[in-house]
Amino acid sequence: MAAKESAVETIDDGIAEPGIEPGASSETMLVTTDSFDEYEQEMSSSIDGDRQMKESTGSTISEIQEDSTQDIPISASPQESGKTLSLDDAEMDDVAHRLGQSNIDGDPLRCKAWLAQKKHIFILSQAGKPIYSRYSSEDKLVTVMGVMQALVSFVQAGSDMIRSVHAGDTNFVFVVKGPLILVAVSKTLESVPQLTLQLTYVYNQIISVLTQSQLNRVYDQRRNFDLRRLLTGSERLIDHLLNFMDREPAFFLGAIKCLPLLPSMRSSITQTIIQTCAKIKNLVFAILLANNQLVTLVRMNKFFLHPMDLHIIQNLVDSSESLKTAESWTPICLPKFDSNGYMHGHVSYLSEDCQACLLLLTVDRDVFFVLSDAKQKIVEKLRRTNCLEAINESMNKPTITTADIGLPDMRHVLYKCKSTAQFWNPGFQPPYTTDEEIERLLGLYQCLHHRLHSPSRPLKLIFQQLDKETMLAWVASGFELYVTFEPLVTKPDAIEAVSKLLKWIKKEEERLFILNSPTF
Amino acid sequence: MEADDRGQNDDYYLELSADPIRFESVSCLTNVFFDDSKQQVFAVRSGGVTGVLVKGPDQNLNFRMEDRGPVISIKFSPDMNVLAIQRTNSSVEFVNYSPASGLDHVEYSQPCKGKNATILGFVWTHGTEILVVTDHGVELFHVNPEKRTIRALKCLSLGVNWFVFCPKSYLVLLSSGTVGNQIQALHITPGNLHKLTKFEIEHSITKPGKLAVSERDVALAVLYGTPCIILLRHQPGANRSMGTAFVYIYTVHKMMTIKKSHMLKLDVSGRFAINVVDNLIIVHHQASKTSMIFDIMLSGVSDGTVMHHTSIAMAKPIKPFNLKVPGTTLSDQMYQPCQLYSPNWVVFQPNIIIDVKLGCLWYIELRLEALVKLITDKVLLVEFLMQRSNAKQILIQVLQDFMTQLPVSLMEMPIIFDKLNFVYRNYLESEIQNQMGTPLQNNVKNTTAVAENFKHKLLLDQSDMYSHILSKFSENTIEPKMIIWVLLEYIRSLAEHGIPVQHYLHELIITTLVHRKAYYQLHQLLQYHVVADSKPLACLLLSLENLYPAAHQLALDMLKRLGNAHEEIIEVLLSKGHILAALRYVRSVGMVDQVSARKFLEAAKATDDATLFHSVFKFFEQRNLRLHNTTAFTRGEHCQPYVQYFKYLFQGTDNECNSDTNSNVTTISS
Repeated sequence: MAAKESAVETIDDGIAEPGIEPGASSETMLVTTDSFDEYEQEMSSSIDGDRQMKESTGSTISEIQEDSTQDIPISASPQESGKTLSLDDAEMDDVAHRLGQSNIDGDPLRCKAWLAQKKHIFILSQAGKPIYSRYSSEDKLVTVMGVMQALVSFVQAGSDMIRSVHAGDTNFVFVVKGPLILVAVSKTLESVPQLTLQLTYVYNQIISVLTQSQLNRVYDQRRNFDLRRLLTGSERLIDHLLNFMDREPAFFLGAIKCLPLLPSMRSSITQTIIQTCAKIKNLVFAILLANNQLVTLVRMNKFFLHPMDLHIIQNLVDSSESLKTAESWTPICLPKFDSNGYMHGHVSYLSEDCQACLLLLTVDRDVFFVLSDAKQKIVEKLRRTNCLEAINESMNKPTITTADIGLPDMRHVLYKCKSTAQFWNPGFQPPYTTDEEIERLLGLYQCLHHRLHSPSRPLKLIFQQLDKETMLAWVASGFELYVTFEPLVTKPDAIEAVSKLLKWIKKEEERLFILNSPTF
Repeated sequence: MEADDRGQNDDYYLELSADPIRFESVSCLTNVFFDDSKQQVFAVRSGGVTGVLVKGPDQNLNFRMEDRGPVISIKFSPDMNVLAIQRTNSSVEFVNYSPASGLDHVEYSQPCKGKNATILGFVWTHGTEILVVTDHGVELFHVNPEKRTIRALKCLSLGVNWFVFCPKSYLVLLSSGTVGNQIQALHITPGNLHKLTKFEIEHSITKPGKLAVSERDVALAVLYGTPCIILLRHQPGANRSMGTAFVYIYTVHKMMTIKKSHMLKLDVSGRFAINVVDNLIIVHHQASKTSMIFDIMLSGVSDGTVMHHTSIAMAKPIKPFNLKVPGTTLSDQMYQPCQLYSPNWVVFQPNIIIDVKLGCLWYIELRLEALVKLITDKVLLVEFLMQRSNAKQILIQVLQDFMTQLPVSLMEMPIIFDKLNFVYRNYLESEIQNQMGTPLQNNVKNTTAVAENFKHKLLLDQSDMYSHILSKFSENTIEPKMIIWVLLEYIRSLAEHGIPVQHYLHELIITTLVHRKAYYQLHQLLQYHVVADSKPLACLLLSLENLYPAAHQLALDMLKRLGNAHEEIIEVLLSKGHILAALRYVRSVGMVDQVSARKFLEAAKATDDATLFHSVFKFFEQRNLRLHNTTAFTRGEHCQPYVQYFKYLFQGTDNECNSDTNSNVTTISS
């Protein structure tokens, strides 16, 4: 059946009164960028690598460390963390998984299961040395990676840049960043900019382990360096990040989801953290995450956190089971914040009975015990003020669905508030009960997102009748809205439902979003 | 021998009727007369005393009459009640006759009015009216057989050299003027004479005493419903052998005016005789013993006023005729060949040849089968055949032959079809006129005038074409491509003439295309609406889906265009598992509240697609809510199994959702 589509701008007036932009706030702790700005920047920077290098020489971290100018040792920290993490169960599983994959067939290129994978990600060095492959051991793919390298360098020889190759329903997307080549081979509906963004995330994940300067230095010294030596144990993070991106709309929206909490509760938690940590020097960010959702974020005045960096942090927390059992002291590079230096993070879960993760990020290397004390104080205070209970309650409660809101025609929705880089989505409800259906739905959202933000022809409103659902996407000045309806919904019903939804979000905005931006 | 004979036979396109009317030949005792009005041969033996034998196409009479002098002319009245006998130059005698009692013994007579007038002849016209032509004029009388009286009705004074009468059109042609170049035509109606415009025939210098036009060079006939004067003109050339002859046709319009309209080129000279068979003019040429055929309805070369025609086929002799004659014994019969084109032949209109010596009367007949082979121009042949009576079978046969000659004959097919359909169109128009009842007066004239022209044309309608030609293609001999081209050409021609194409033609072209697997062409035909929409056609298309997937959509589009096929469209969509599309269609035609939920739920269940089932189920829940204020299905809908199935699919998660009642959540009441 042919999909029916209409882009009617006049509906703008019909949906909601102007001025209703739920979740909007002038204060924000996150850097608000469109994910596509990222893409644009990617495109320009990857062509002109030198310029990017110059820009990033001004280090944010060194700015904070007024007293210290000494270099960070090259290999100590990452290897340290690598060692602690290598005992991880998840990694063992992953290794076993990958071994299993390659056992099916010695040559992955002859393995049907491997070839049938929907999205492959490969990382290699400019010299063509394999660094990472998503579904098989990269050792087996030396020749394929050689071809990729050849493609990139061939185009580079003409002072040009290969971006993508389209063959049937398969897209080959290339990102060349610094000394690395990242390649996505995808059969999904994701667009080239979206895949480029994902590759950038992967690159940033590597930077967050190594820092940009270390990566450059390594390759400056030896062009055919085997980066796997430095990345040992980090493949797990990349694997997890890729899976994470496949099921989380946060990445392509470039936004953060907050844990719904009563505003009073949230401000109480925030105040507790501020009071406890106010005196600690060089503490840049205090982040409390629960279920991958942001409970609160306290920042050092004049510094902001980029959602991309927060996603990297979320990935780290979500992929590391070991963090649950013990406090850890982890060096981490936030590529958007400062790609050349490490931050040091005190990462711990609040308590056995409250699985919210507190991250205290500082530029000082040796304040572990100070931060550990602070954490204990925070937990005690929160327990006293019943905040832990509130967090638990919100975490354990099933997410509200659109049926609960009283919108029978609406199945699911993504709402992104542009000014605060936060988004909200309800829980999945039937028929989106299986993983395949959920992945399919996210794929549809990605398609809509791409069409709204298509660089060549951006749209403001899309109403599209698809095979199994009817979808609406709408970019207003303050928000982006992606709605999934019953396939048989009529246009007037859809418009009415959207307007009800916006009213509901407006009513609930204080609970669903963080509208202020606390600082130490 | 046989084969040879047949081969020879095939060449003759004219023949004499197989069973000639035999009569006593002319001798010193027997006088033979022929009445061309009633087509009766009178053999008068010894002035009638020893008997008068009358032979006609359907009579065979024998009677005696008194001998009152030599008979000049003898003719029965149209109803056979009165016999008119002319024995002198100045009077005509009448005797009553009845088949039962034979000839009455009382004769009554009528002398012509004009003194010194010589009777040139007489003809029975309407009923018992008789027209007597003298050298001083014509006189019309009414004979009353009961009272045995005669009453003069009309008369006209005119110097007359000779006259010709046509019993079909009741036209009398009078030759007048000293050189006989003036022709006066009279139309005889019951009790009256009408003068038509007089016309003159240009004449070359003639010998004194010889008329410009002689009686034997003139024939009256009715061609295609129009009375015509056929005039033979000899044009002597430099020397005798070089001279050629022409035939002029003067047509009579509405019994008012006479116009020279056609000219037939004979290209030979000598003695000629003219017959008319089936609206064709046949010119016998004695010297070459051949006959030529002309059809004035076929297009010729116009010089502005007159159409010049040439012979349709090359001149051929009449088929040899063997006369059955008694042999030496009674039982023995011999066949004796007759001399054709003999000097003893007398030719009468329209198609009679009499050999007075042999005592035979033949009708000359056309042998169309032979003629067909001599006309090579296909379009001309079809046109010619369309103007023949009873030629339908032959025309069909000819068209069938053309089909076997494909692709050579493909060039001519469009023109041939156009010719056929032009007649077909006019036939349909007159049918409609007839059904519409009596139109306005002035309309009648127009349509009858048009209808007149087509009355003589053969009608070959769609069903004829279909059952005899288009559906009879043999696969082995004709390329299927050709069949399609011919069919398309025929349909194009029909469409061009605004004739609705019958469904069986569409079906034929579609099945032919399908047979050839020319699905794309089929697609195009449908898309450009060459083939009219219909439900049977849509069903046929549906059945083709396996062979040509696009046929499915074509069928759906067609059903939609038909506008009355909602049920079918829904069924088709459901059968393809396009349940959402079916529901959208239902909604678009405003049938949401009537359709059976069960049907859609069953179809959705059959797809084994939980998401789809969910959508359909929710749709009907919303309908229930609207109709009954509850999402539950009514008992009558028998949807319990689907409710169960829905629970089975989404039970766990559904319950979770329902149990999710949090005080923090505020819902919008709808």
